[in-house]
Amino acid sequence: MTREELKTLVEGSPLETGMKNEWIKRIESEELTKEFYDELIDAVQANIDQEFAKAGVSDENDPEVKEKYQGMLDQIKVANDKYNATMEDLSKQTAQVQAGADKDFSQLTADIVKGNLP
Amino acid sequence: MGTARERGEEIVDKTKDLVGSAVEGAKNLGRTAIEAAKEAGNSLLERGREFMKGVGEKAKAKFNALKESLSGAAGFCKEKALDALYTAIGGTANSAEKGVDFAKKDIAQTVDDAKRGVDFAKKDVAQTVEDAKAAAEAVKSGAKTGARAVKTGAQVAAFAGVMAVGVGAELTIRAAAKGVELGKLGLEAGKKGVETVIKEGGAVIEVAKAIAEVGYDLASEQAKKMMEASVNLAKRGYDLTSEKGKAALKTCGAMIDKGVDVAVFLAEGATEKAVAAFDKTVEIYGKAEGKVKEIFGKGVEAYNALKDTIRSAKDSFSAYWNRHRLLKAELQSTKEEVAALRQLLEARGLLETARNEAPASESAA
Repeated sequence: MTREELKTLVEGSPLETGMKNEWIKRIESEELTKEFYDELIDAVQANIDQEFAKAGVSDENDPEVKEKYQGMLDQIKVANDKYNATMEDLSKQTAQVQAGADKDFSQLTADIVKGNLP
Repeated sequence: MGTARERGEEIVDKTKDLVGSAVEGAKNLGRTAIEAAKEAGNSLLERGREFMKGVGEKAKAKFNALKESLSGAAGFCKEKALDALYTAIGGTANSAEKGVDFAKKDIAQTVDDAKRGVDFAKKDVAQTVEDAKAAAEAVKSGAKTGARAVKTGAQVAAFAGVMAVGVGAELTIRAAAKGVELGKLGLEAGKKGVETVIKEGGAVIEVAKAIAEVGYDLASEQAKKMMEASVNLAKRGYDLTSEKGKAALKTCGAMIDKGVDVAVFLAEGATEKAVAAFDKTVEIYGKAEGKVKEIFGKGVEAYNALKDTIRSAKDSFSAYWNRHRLLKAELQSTKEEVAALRQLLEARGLLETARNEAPASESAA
């Protein structure tokens, strides 16, 4: 979707005027990454929730909704745990790279001083 | 005490009061239960939103911490590489000092040799004077012979002149043929020259590309110095478009930043040990940098995978929940409200499609 198409979509949507103006400014000035769209979708979803509430539709207590919602949270938790473990491992690997390079450079410096280089 | 009728009426009134209170109480209890249930529902959503916000913020913080840690490791390696090179440069300076000492000794030796040369020359001059006197005598005797030779010579020259015309013509023809041949060779050499210029021009462009690729502004002084240094790198067999070549360019960049004249450092005549230290530095630095890039790539992949899972989970739930509520809205809400909701849902769907085609903000490139 081009910047212009996105602006047209936001302008033509039933979002509140203040919200539309704010987003159009951002569309004109920011990079249109996945993360940008994430924020915009969250804002639109918040607006959808408000409109449902205004229309008198409220089903937060529906056991099925609760179950689905909890399922979503569980899925995110599993992914988050995996991510944390990966980042911890990568952090250790970074320390190892630094320690390895430190050792290699120390050896090189010693070789230079001793004249051991070919 | 009243009549039975009066007692009956009294009982009926009390019963009415009790029933009224009970109904009111039940209503209140019902309201409390509904509010509690609503609160519980909202609390779940609220907690979920807080949880997701926390996951997003912490994941970003962890990713930034990894980036910082990798940047620190790369900076550490750069400093260590420079330390090693400075040690090597120190060795070069010592070698240069030794060279100066040798040069001083050579100069002293040269002066001695020159003095001895002058003495020999003096002796030669005396001998030359004697030889000149003898030569003068020889000239006198030669004059007589010379007069005879002139006469004979004139006759020989006249004959030789006639012969020379014929030989000269032949030589001229041969020279012309040779000239044509040389002209052809010159043309071939010219062609090769042009080809070389084109090829080397291409090589210069490749080097410039490689310098730009490792992040230097080609208009900068640093890039110009790196172009000079790249000639020395190429002479040492570095392919500047390879990963190793790029690591060498970065090492050169780091040295230039610190005020080291890399072109001189790597130039022919620099001590072999200093250049060997440079090669080894590039090897260690290149290896470490490669691993740093690899770890960063894995970090980006993990971060993007987490965000993709969050997106997918939220999209899936929202699609279900919005559909669920829309069915209810169609039964109980106005047409205008339903139309507005449909438009918002359609916009959300289009945004999801656009988002799936958009680039992620973090890339390993």
